Amino acid sequence: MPIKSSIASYKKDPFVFCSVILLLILLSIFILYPISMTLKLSLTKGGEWSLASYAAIFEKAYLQKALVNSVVLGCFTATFATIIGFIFAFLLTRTQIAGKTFLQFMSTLPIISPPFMLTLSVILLFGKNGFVSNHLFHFESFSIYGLQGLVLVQTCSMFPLAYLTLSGILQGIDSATEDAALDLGASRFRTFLDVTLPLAIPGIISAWLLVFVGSLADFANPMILAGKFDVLSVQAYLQFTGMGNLELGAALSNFLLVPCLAVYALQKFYLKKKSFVTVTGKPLRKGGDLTTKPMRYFLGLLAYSISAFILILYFTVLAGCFTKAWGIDYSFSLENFRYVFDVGWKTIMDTIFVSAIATPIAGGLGLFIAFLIVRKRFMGRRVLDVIAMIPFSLPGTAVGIGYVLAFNREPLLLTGTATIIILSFVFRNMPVGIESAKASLMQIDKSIEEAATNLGANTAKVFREITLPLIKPASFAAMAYVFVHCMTAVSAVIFLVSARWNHMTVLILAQTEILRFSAAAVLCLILISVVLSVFWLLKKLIGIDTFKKGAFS
Amino acid sequence: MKKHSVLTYAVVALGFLFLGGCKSSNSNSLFVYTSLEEVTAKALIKAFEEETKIKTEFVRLSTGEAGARIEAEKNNPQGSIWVGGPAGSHAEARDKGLTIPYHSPATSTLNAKYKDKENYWSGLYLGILAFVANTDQLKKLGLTAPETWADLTDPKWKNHIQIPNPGTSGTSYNVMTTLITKFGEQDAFNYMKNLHKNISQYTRSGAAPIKNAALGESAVAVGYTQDIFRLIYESKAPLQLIYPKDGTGYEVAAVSLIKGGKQTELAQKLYDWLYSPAASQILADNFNAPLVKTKETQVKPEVLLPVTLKLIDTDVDWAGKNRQRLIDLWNDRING
Repeated sequence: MPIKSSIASYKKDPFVFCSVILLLILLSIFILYPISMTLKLSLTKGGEWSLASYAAIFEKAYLQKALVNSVVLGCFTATFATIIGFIFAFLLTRTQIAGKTFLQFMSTLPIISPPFMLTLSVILLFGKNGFVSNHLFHFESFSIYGLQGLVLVQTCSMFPLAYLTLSGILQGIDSATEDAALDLGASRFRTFLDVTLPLAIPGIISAWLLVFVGSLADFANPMILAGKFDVLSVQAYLQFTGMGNLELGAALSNFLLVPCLAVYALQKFYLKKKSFVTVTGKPLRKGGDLTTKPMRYFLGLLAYSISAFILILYFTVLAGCFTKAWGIDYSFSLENFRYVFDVGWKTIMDTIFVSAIATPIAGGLGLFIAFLIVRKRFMGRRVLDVIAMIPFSLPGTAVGIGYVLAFNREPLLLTGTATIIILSFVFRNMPVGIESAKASLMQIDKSIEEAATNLGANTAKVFREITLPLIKPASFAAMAYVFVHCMTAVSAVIFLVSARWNHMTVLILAQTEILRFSAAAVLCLILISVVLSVFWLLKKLIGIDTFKKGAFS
Repeated sequence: MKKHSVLTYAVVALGFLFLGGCKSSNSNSLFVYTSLEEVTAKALIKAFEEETKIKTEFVRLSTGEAGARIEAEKNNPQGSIWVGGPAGSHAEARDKGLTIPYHSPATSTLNAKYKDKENYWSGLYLGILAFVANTDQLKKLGLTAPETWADLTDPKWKNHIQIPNPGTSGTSYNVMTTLITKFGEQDAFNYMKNLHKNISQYTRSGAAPIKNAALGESAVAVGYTQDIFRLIYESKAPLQLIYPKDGTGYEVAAVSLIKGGKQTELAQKLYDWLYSPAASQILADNFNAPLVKTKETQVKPEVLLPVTLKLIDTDVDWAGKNRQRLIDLWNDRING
């Protein structure tokens, strides 16, 4: 839009002007500044400008190996997770399979769990001294540590990402196109191959990339389960916090940034345009089924087996809570709870406290930014949109390192405080709020707001009295997910915790590392209970069912 | 701007956050970074709090992590004192200007060998390196426990040995400097290259390998005796402790005050207290042999070293100065 008219629009609406300026300042300080600090550090060596750290990545064999390993792991995980995610999404949107509620619950459960909870139970079951590997069957040479274990765990915990993306896409495909193919005499399989699958391709690519990036940035699972299979995210953490090589740590975390940003850009600018999906608002076809009976049974069997496996993993953690010393003494004990409340009570309270503060701020800011972007036309709209969405694609390691570097000196001396943790949560999770608010804002007809404006209400009043009430359900659902993200975050927060402010996930990691598996299991249980009770409260108080699909978008 | 927009709420909330953030760093508790084993650290801090009524909070970090954390926070140190971790790493922190000297009257009887010439750090106890083997696993594998350092590189142990990552763990760096002192740098690295083939995992924390051995996740591990004894005598794990026949290394577990710490005075009180009879007894109860003790201090008989054991002394200052270089070399040559 011409500059003159946009300046004029600012004059007309000073509220928008002030808000945009304020937001841009906030985003610059808490998103751009930390990233630039990490970038700067990675480009220096002993205070001088240098490319040594990046050169090291290509020269040192152990870093190259870590790079290759990360990519290999990412490809395996992304492929398996996308296939499983697709099966779940397809069964739930295109067939009449029994027990849809259960399958839907199973495909979202891993999202609300602490990130390495599944790793924990996999070790309890399949470790060298695990319950299955050692007590039920005796596989001597089998080892869960390394690529195989990581692919298993990451697939189980990340296929929900693929599922959510794909179920959105599949729902969006107008079933009339499939009906047309069926009516013209195509077989169900033919219809699937020639109509459904091609239409779902952008979604499949998108889901694959999302999981790939998730796997690349995942740091908690490899930390425990990698064995000698070194990956980039862990190496970045070790270099930064363990070996005191801050420059190399920063360089490695920036290296993670490249694929993440690339995927984000691809999704945003390429796939969105390419997408054939049309949201028509027509009711979904009822009663149709795109599978033959045997096919449905086969896919159903797969989905149920996977669900059962995940359930077993969860029950293992539950059993771990009440076991005296897993691997040595399987007798019943409540000792772990006493230990956890002794060691971790303050940490549990800290975690709930920082998450409870960060959630409404992230949700509120997200909502407000979405409102400005969708409803207002002003200079710098695209810039605001792009900057605000950046943290979504950043690996946690980069965010954590950036925050430590940026807020370690006057005037923003924040290391060691709750503030730094809360701020990282707010800006990292804001995109969730923005996206969900954007989606629901677009569904609300602009004319309602225009009517209010015509009747003399200003922007602030319109936002408060018209927009806000209309998008309240969606934003509460988004906030529930921000809360989950805050409770289960680990990769960024591990750099920010201190003697005073700790986080449950960091404590779980520490307990797992000193092999107090039962204590770690108890902490996982507490974490999930907190999250589920918040969901329950939301449902009771506001009537929002957070497990319903709409909440995830 | 009109009243009560969401944005103003957010800005006000952020403002409070900053205030809250500043306030929390001025609180009156003593913050301690410790690289001691969790149980020992907890017992010490609890007794100190009860005796002095000084509110004390601690975080356990492995040696490398504690050093890195203190360095990262040097503009705004959170902790005031660092308890535990090998003297070499404390010397490294001293060389980086991260700690301050303190001449504690309580250390007057401490052997000069176990404290810094300029009083930057002083030793609490000696951590002796030893092998540990899971007897059940040995039976399963049909192998006998290793007796010398050379035994560990025998191909029959492939994927059955765990040691910590020397980058993060003081224990493992201690193993490395001991090997270099014993064999010379070149041969020590050749040795580690061979050992690498048998390692199933390099853990982040120093005590993890022996815990893994206790659980049967690995057959053999290298670690400090105090951690091994605890597992044998308290957890009744099927473990066997072996002192290497060709000599072994040790750490001087040390304590330093952190430069710019907000509670230096309280930290000094803890520093002094760590050499009190009460603290010595707690160390002894946790399978350590404290360097400063009274006649009343009851050291566990198991902890006493066999007279035949050869201890290999490493130069603490050299270990501190060369750490970064040796870790880089290890990453490059061994871990690659």
